[in-house]
Amino acid sequence: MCIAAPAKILEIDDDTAVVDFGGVRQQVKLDLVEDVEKGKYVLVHSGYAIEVLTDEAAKESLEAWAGLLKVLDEEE
Amino acid sequence: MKNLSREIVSRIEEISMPVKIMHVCGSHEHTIMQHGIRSLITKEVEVVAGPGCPVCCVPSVEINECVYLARQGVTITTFGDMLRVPGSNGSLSDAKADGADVRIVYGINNAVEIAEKIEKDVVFMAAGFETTAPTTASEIISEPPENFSILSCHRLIPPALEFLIESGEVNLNALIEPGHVSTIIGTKPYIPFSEKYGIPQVVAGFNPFDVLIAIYMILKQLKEGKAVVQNEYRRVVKEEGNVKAQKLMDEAFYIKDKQWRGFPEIPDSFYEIKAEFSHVNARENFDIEIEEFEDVVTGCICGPILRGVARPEECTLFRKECNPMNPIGACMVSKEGTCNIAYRYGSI
Repeated sequence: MCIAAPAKILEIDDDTAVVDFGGVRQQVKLDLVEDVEKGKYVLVHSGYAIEVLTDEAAKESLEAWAGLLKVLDEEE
Repeated sequence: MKNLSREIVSRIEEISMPVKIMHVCGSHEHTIMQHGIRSLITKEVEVVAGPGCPVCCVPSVEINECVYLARQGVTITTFGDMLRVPGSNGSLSDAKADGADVRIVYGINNAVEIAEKIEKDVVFMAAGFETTAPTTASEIISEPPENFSILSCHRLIPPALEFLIESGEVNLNALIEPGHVSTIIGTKPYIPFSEKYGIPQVVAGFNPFDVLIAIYMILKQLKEGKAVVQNEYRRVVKEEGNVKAQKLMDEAFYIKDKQWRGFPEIPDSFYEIKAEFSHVNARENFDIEIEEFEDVVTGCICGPILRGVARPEECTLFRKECNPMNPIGACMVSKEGTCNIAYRYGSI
């Protein structure tokens, strides 16, 4: 039930925003996050943005996981 | 893609050892089953599912409270998964079939919108862990309409972890921590479990790579004799979590002991609405009469499954009397329930 998905903010109107989940648009509430602006990505859970994400985080690329393994190796 | 998963799996094989790792998230169980992760890694690395489904953890007594209100003519709003969770007196779905006004919403904001449109009393049954509790807190504080109130079923993950570790029933060696609960609470609340019990912990995301890397990180800690909290899901989870959401929860809720389905009372594991907001608390606004009952379904092993000591396949009802069309236990109802997931993805 704690499912959450990244979405891009298209418009902001006071404490709500219209976001885009790669084609599907939805209205979400912004009460739980700070420093949001149009074009940024947020993590959305049950109609509320619960975290602001960087563009790279939202896109979940293979390079990111490969990069994480590298970081772990370097942490040794 | 194959190369990356092979790379992680071979790293796991290199440092594999007999270990029992528990995760406490329905989404992790979903990822593990859908991608056959248990069959990808060495058998001695055992990954067990704990109480990771907030819908499954709501005990019959709280379902009975809601069913009572629904049958009294109150409009009940809640997440879709809650409708078929069995109480001792039937489910909300049964009440709806008998004519009660039970409506599915996507979030609490939709429940408030319903209350704004109708004159009847509207109650939102608020289930969920720390991921969902801030959404409820924000509506409690923002003065919802007078005909709107909330029946809190919100539960906290860290006290359940401590209960499981303390009980020793599962014998767990390490924990994979839930990524979206951690998005809110951060990584610090887990630190005492590593320090006090010597348990390695990794906060993980929900992609199969995330889960595989988390398993690798845990094995690496064990191999090196470490027991710390690491953050695999660092692209989302901050060490301090979502501070704004934490403040809203502190403002709206107090924490109390509460029973979970499959568990006795767990100390400090439940968010109840503070007295200053009692006008939004359905338990204060209505006289809810619940009869005494036996909270046991003959043959159902939801309890041991939620505590991570049994798998669905060990239940004599699984895939027979109990299936997603006709769930007998709570773990078969929700798509996040261990039995429902095992039914859908079989023995991959």
